[in-house]
Amino acid sequence: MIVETGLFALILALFIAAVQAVVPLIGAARGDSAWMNVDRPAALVLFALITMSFGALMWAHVTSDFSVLNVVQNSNTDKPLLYKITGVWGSHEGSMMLWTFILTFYGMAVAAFGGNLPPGLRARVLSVQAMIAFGFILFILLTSNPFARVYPAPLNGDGLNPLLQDPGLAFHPPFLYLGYVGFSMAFSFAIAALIEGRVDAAWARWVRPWTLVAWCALTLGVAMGSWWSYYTLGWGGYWAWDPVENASLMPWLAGTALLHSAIVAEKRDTLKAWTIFLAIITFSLSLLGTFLVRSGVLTSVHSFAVDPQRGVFILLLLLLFTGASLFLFALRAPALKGGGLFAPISREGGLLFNNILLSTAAATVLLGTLYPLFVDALGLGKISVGPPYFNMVLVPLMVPMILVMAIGPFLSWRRGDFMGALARLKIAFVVTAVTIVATLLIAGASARSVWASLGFGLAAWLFCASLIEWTGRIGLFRRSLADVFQRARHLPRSAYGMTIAHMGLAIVLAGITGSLAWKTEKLQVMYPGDSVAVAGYQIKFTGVDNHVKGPNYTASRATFIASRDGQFVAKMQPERRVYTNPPQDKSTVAIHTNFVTDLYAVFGEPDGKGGFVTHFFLNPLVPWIFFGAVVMVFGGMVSLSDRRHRVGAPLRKTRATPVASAPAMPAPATVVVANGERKGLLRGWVYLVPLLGFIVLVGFFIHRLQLTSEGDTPNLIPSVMIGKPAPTFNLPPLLADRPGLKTADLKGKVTLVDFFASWCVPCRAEHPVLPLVTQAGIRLVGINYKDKPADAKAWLAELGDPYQAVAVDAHGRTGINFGVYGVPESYLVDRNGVIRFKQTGPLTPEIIRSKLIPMAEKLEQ
Amino acid sequence: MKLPFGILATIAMLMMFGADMQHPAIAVEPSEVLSNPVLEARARAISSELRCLVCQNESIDESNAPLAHDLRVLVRKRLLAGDSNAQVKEYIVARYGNYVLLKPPFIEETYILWFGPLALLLAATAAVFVFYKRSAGVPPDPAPLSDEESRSISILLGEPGEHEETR
Amino acid sequence: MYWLVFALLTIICVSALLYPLLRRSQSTAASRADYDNVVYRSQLTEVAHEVERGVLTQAQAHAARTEIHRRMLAATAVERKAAASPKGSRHARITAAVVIAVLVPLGSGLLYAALGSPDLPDQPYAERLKHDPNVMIAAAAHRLATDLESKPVAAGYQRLAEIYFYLREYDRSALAYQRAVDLGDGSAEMWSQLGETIVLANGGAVVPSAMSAFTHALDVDVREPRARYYFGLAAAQAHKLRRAVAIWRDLEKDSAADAPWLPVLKQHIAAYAKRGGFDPATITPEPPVLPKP
Repeated sequence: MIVETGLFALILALFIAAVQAVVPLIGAARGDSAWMNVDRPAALVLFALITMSFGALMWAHVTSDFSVLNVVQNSNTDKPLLYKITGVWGSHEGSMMLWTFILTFYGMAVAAFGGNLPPGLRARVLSVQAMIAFGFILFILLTSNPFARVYPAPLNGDGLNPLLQDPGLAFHPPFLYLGYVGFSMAFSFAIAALIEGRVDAAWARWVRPWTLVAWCALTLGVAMGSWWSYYTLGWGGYWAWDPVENASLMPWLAGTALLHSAIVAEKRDTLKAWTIFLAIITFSLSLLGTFLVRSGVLTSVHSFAVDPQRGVFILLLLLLFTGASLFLFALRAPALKGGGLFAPISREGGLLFNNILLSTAAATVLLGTLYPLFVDALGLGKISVGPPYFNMVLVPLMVPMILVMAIGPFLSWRRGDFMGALARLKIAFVVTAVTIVATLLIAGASARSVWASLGFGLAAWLFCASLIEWTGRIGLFRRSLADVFQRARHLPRSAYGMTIAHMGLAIVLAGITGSLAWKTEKLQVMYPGDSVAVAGYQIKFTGVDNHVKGPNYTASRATFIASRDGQFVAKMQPERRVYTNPPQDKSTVAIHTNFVTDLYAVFGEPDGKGGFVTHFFLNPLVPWIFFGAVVMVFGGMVSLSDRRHRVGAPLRKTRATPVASAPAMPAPATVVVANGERKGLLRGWVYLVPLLGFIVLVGFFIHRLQLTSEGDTPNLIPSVMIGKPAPTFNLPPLLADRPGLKTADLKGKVTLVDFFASWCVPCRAEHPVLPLVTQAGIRLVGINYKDKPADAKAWLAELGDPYQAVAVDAHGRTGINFGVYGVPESYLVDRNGVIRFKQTGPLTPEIIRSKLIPMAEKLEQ
Repeated sequence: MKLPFGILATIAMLMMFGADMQHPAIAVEPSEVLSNPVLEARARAISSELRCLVCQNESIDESNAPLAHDLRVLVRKRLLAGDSNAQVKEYIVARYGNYVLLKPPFIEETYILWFGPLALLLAATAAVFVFYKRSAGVPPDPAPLSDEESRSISILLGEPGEHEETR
Repeated sequence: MYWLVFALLTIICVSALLYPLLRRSQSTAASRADYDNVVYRSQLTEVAHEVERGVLTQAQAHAARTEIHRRMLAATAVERKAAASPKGSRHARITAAVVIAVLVPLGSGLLYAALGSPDLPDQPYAERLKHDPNVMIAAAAHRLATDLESKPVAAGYQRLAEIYFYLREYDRSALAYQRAVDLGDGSAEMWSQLGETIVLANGGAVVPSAMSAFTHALDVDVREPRARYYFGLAAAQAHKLRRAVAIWRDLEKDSAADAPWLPVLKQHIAAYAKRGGFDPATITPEPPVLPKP
């Protein structure tokens, strides 16, 4: 009953969303308030229905209703209640439900608290929101129905991936989605304004609180994800530049730019087209992230179960939303008239400068993330873009940004006094210099500490400048204490917000610098009773308890006593857990923190002789990264509480507007002329560039999805050995009565070299078709890859031996020389011993007939 | 005969022999570690720039797949044999292609990747330059209100603001 | 009952949508310029505050005010231009309301009919634990498994494996058999049951781990019938039909006339011989060949 009602509510929500998308939009176009007024009840009903539906899914999970497929696949009766609840969004279907739930939550918030919005704007905003909701509900219903049923119901479920059974990851998605989806508000406002053809300072103020909410949530979501990665994965790091991580960073960078350009639009009524563009791009990048995570176009450590069909659907949504909005942008943006002017050295100038850097950074992350896809699609081979690239390219972009970030707030609007600002920053210069010198003195002169000192200097610069700006505003040291207190109280919250958020970034920066520069690690085998010294700490391994029982796992728990100069510091107990459902291992890390440095212990595999692999890290300043992020979020929230964001609505009362009674109102054209005779800043066609770029991007995605559906997954790597002579090798035989194999043996006749192993499952699928190769007159030799000889012999005895020679590559070195990365792989070698063709994965009769045999015949001539 | 996608995907998964789909707790094993700390540090640096071929998106330094182990051992063997860092990477690239390099090489195919950010930055700077140039000579301060405008605004403001401020 | 709830839900939701359309007296909203001017007035107040705090000089404040004034004038001017837009007719509103009132319930009903399973009641685990015997057995098995974790006994694991086998949970059953063999002396029967469970867990494929279990079984007792049957099946799956029939005929020869597996075995021999296109009688019975360690 409850489950089916959940499904019905979701279906009904689809149609309500359709009504909400269409009716208020028509109303706004026709100026009919009755049609427009459908928006609020519709948004409230939509939210209520999605809440019901989401609640029903949660109910099914909490009661372990295994007649629901989604529960079977992601839950188990053993699972603690907390993870039964949070497991709802552990799967693709459930996470899309959460996504939609948050989307309609924002719509509800506009309907309930958007009283200060003009009805026409509100109707259009809610209409655009409903279009997005419609697209995603349809996506859920057609490709990922979370209420799909199973009959008969299985006795128990498969359980949830243990990595997701963790408080950090349990609450990371809701915040991340609050952020991603929150930017849909800025998007909807932008589209509504484009439809309306009106973007002005008032619009910028209305959109700002929603952008702030989204930014805070996304910052927290990204920080939580990073924190989770740090304390559960046991690799001692917190950011890996994985495509999925990049997918969350790109909207963050664009959203931060948006947050700042909206300030300029609000204060000076300028940079309007740019702000609209950022609003579209930020949400589009969120959608892009959703697409990348679920479609399998890129390889990532943490993607959902990949399904090209879903990928196609999300791509369609992306095409629809982003394509249509960029089209609308190209159509309407040229007509947006610029407002106030400003000099390059001014508050606006500073904000614009940082907007350029932030958006270039976002574009760079996008370029790096998708570049392998482009190169592959253009047939230029496969390449990888990893952390070294991003570190190299983004640091130069971030350094000037932070330098300017400190100065910007000192510049006044319109026209600033650069030297005056620098003069006020005297103390910051001194502190920065002292920081750099002190770091060098303490850390000693090495390349590493030079970098560290510059990083700390930058952090000190930003922190100090933010502090000076604040003391300047409240007149500290210049006025009486009572006056200072009075001023501090009356300073707008948004000013506090900025200071706090900027200081938070300075803290993050210091944390990143410290952790990169002075991370120490120690890896060894330890026996109970052993001690090891790690960066000034003494760590004693006291023993292992192999029978720790958790609710749905058993664990081996190690105990380490950390001490420093003979003083006890901490008892650390990392674990190695084995979960029963699904049967998977997970290692939990023990971290001892003093808020400056983390001592980080990982407990590894036993060595079979009573010892255990242990890995210790000393991660300096890592806690600052997460603390700084929280400070940034706090700054955002303080800014959000500014009373400017709570400007009320005009009284609902008909009255003659003063316009009607003003006999000589200047025509709008006069206003524009007074502003300096400026039309659109750039020629119209420039506004088409984003749309064209986007279409090209979609083309690449379609191409990639096409290839994937044909079986060419992104991690299928073409061999570079083709056209090169086979590597030199000389391997012993597997069977005593037969010869081994060396490079010279390959010459004289076309030969297929087949790498196989008895432990390899696909090899079993390949084995029966191998006789087709010999029947076609091709010499077939086998190389037994990293196998136990006895197993290999049994395998051949059991399945038959089609090979003319079988050699043993016990350590896989010859495999590496051939470029083998996953058996079975086979190489066709011509009469001169040159490799001509490589098959990665099992040979099939089709491949043998259509590729191998024709090629061999040609080579034989 | 054409295999449906599902089967191929499954096979592709199975081919990643023993590949752990998650970050391992510990990748580098103590037995691999070289006694010479300088060489070991170089080995770690090189391994963190080489991509594990059978994993989703990890360096061989982070992965505990068997092939990653083999490659780590190989990297250390090459270093012991006296190879420079670049030579070790070349050795691996000669067998597996540029795909293994997490820091893409500077070749024709990657010009856009390496110059892209700079080009974007220059383009944006140029756009902003045009933006400033157009308004050059015009004072940022607005012209004072005309008499007509002043009259209209005083009518607008003259009526007491009929709005509620929610606090 | 279902349809009643769904209908009620639909009626409530649709009527909420229709209310603004059908309401007779449409309140006149404040004009757009009023909304804009609320913001601009607040901006003027902020300028005043900033002058008070000494953040802005008089000249800067004057410029800021002029700009805000211009915005107010522009907003009001646009309003005057837009005031002429047409107002909707009541007729159109009613038409829209009817379309919504028909299409939303109809569409939802049809889509639900396509996607929903109205015949399936909820099945919370706690309820099933009271009524469904299989769930009870599974829960008991789970308790047994937990007990065995702390006090492992071969016979206990064998029993657990049999329960899981009965519940068709072959993966778990295989794990339990494995534990039983590890703990106990590993009778030929237990080994071959382990092998069979692995085969079933793999959807009928005689995978290497199953083969090694059958090999163990025959190591203990070369006559173990189940293992010999699967050796034959393994050969058949490797497309060696003659070899398979040979092994099976060997088993058939050794089986008592009333052996329960005999009918199935005979069927198999006939079927595979037919597929291979040979006469089973021409095949010499051969025992399975065990791989030499």
